[in-house]
Amino acid sequence: MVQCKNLTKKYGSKVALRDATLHIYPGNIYALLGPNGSGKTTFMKILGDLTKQSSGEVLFEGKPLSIQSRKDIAYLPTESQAYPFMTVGDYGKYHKSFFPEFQEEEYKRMLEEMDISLKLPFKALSTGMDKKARIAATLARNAKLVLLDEPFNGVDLLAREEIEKMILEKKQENSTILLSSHLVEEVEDYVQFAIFFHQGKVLSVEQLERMQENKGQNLTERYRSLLGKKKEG
Amino acid sequence: MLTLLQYEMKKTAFMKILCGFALFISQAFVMLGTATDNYVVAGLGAGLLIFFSFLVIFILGLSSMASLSKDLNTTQGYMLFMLPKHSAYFLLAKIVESLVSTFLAGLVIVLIFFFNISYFAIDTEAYKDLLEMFWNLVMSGKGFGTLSLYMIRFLATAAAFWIFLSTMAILCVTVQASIFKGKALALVVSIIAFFCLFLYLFSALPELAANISWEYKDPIFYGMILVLSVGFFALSSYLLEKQRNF
Repeated sequence: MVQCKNLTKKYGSKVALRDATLHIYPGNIYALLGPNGSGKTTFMKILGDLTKQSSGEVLFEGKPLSIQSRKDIAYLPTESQAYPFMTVGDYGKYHKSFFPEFQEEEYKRMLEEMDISLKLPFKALSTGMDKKARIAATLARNAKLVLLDEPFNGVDLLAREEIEKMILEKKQENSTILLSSHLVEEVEDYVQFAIFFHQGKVLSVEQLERMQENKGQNLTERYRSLLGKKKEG
Repeated sequence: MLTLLQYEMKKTAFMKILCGFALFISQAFVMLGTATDNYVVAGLGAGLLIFFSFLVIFILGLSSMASLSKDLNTTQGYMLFMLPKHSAYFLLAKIVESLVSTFLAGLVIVLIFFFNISYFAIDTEAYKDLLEMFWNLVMSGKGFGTLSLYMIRFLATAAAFWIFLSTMAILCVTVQASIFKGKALALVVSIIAFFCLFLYLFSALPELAANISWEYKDPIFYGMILVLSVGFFALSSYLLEKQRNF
């Protein structure tokens, strides 16, 4: 579905992503793991076509990223991006206006389940509620590839469970999901692949089942063995 | 395009409300001063009204550029740049919004001034004469009337300059937010670049026009403004598509 070859992104003299080469296969959930500033967000922003790579190549379904691919890739940024004058309902209408595949009813259903009123203005929402509303809109876009940047950040336990439920529902619709998180233990239960980032480099892409069979490690142990060493070094 | 335009209008709504409020307060001072025969208050109101009439036009133009700068430098921009549309649409929506807002503000200001002229023209016969004189001037000459043509030409020139300035400002903001993003003093440098470009072009264009014979002056002048505006616009759109740097 996605092929990246020697993907590099520089912001001035700082290298945010260095020579990332990897494949993303459809119908799976990928966890993007690594410490802060390791290149996860930059990688997602490149896939979301919000930032252009300095060098390297990225293909989505065999073609370079384009206006068409923006229809098929939905990105949830860490920070809120909604216009301050918008209500939660307006946010859905905005998506409906520009993305023909957007399922407004699905968006409303998800919000209802999370007890978020459509009439609430975005500027009045707490961090958690803001994130939940934006996740609902991102998932309701019915995109082929969904990029969720730290969807559990600043969200309480119960809300996390609700978000996980929504993500798993989306997975059943055969969407491919990439999510970055620092909650390694929690994502272990439902992700199929893990991509480890460190200092802008992709250290390893591992299938969880194989990782457990071949290395006898779960995700947390693997994270420690890969990134703990780096930190010590 | 209409939906984009709608959202652009909403983004700058606060500034529009503020401008409307400033005009309203000034007019209220004029009315209050005349109603109470307090000519100091009336004079103050009239002064403020003239001052804000110019300022409102300037602020509305600036607020569109400020909105573009916000879109390019904060996460709010994700709302636009994640959409499956070419960046040219977003820029076009901003230019149209700026043009429509300024035109409507100009219209409101003209209406306020006409209202004041008619309201304070105690001698209604004189006012009738004034209107008749104006009407005759508008309709005099061949066809539509010479004054009408001058007015249309004035509006067309104002609109052309507005678009020219907008596209030039858009280019500066875009260069700052794409190529020089994150660099120290990028915004200051882009503002200075805008004024330098503005001063250079405005001194170069009349010089160039002076060497052209009278009958070709208008089409060449408008043509040059059009070519430069389209060039600035195309370059900005290209940078936003190919050098995105969020």
